[in-house]
Amino acid sequence: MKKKKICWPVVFIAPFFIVYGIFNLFPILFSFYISLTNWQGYGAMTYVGFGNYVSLLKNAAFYKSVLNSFIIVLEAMIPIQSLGLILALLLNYGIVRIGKSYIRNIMFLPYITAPIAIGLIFATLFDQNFGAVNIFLKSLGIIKQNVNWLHTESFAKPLVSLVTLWRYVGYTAVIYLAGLQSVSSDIYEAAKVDGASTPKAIIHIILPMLKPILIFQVTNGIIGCLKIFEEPYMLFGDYKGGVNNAAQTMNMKFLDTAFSAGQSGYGAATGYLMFIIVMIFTVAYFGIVNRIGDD
Amino acid sequence: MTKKITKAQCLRILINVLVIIIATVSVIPFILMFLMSTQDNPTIFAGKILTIGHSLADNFETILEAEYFRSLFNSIIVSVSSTVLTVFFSAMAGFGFAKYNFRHKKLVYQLVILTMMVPMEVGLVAFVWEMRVLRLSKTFLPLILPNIANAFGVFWMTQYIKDSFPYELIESGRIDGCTDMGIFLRMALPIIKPAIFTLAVISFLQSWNSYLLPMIMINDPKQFTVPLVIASIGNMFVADYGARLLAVVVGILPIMIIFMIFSKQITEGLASGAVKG
Repeated sequence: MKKKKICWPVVFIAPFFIVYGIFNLFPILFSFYISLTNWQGYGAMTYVGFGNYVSLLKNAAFYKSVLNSFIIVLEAMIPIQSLGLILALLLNYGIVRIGKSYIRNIMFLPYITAPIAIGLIFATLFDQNFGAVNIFLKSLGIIKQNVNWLHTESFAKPLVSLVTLWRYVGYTAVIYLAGLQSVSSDIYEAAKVDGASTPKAIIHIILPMLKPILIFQVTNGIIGCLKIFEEPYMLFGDYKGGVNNAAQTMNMKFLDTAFSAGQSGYGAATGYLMFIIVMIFTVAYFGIVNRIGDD
Repeated sequence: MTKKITKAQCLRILINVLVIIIATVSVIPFILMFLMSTQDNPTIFAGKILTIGHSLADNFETILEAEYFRSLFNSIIVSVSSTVLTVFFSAMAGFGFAKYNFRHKKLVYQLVILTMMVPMEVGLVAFVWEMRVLRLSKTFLPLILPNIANAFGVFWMTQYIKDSFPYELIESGRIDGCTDMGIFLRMALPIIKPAIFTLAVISFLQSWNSYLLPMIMINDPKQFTVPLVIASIGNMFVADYGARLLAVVVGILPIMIIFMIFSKQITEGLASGAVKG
């Protein structure tokens, strides 16, 4: 009797692609078609060509949300990465002795907490009437009157950046710490034996070896932060992003259009255009990173 | 000489204090939230937020009446099924990539990694349409299905199986008359338990914290998951801030407990994923 030969790699790998195809890829492709229609969420889909995209490109609020996202990311990423790296260095090179693993775990807590809960917690902390921040600043005598943090235009973006910083800094430090631990300690010791001071050994020997992780961290951080919407949604209570849409991120703008009545086609176009913008940015970013890497 | 040492010691103490302050800042919002969840409105409005209130039981009753615990149950169903399916599909694909050679393997693997590049938001509008057409809108399946094909999971499993499941075991299994599927189920899965565990915890976390899909797919309050309840908490307990925060506490406590128990595996898993990637 001849056994039928089964192609095992296909049996093992195909399910991933089948599930991805049905529940991820198909919606992505079909959304592009929807973005070319004036579909209202129900009824017929009438083809309108690139009309949605044209009107989006004329929409000032769209540009504002893109700009907002990038500003928030920039304001958050610089302190996240520098503080994270410094913390990791302090924890790794034995400068901190007390309860290293406790500190590591505590710093990780914000990262595993639901963003929606983080938004609510910070909305409570920054509340004008009973928020802990106002109480604290008042008791120190820094402010005399309660500050209306959540409804002041100029505070909106920094607040979102601050929440993002709080959420990611510990996580970032732990990842850098893992990277530092993967760098062989022999190299560091050798540099010390050769007479290099601790800061010198770190700057000239350790940091260059950390470069791949650094690039990964910054890239991942930027792409992740560009998507944020839960925290500002809870902080300001809607998808508008506070006074004058000051902190309306791309994703908030997308959700606000795509799932409000009658704008499904337009919303799908919004999603696609934002994706294209992020892609262009990512490609440009990698171009720069690779050029720096070559030098 | 002695003076120099004291200087270094001073610096060391200073740095220790600095790190501890940063670590404390990480927990202060949580501590304040725990404290406020035990208080009633008058205490909160009086600004006595640093005291332990006496309204914990009252607040608990309030969220009990709002049938808050049904949302916990819903979240458990969604997260557990999502986790089991993600881990199984990832382990299978990982086994396929790690232990077989076939034409264009590298290309196919890169395709898997490529799926990470396109965010789910892009397909969201059509996904809602698709779920409606398939008549799945009123079930929990829309919250589970898009998570199953997890590129990070495949990457994670491929790496682990490559290192820890020797090819000789497959050979010996075949000699014993096992099919390759049998080898995967009976021999590989038990050996890769640590990788399964880490991926399971990470998937569970992601699913438990997820807000986007439930927000778009779930309309019936009876089907609300925990993040949905937290988001709509303002309407549920109109001006009862203590109860609101208690609901948040109860919602994030399971995750915190899981993290406290398995912190080593979680941080190491996430970190090694990042370091290897």
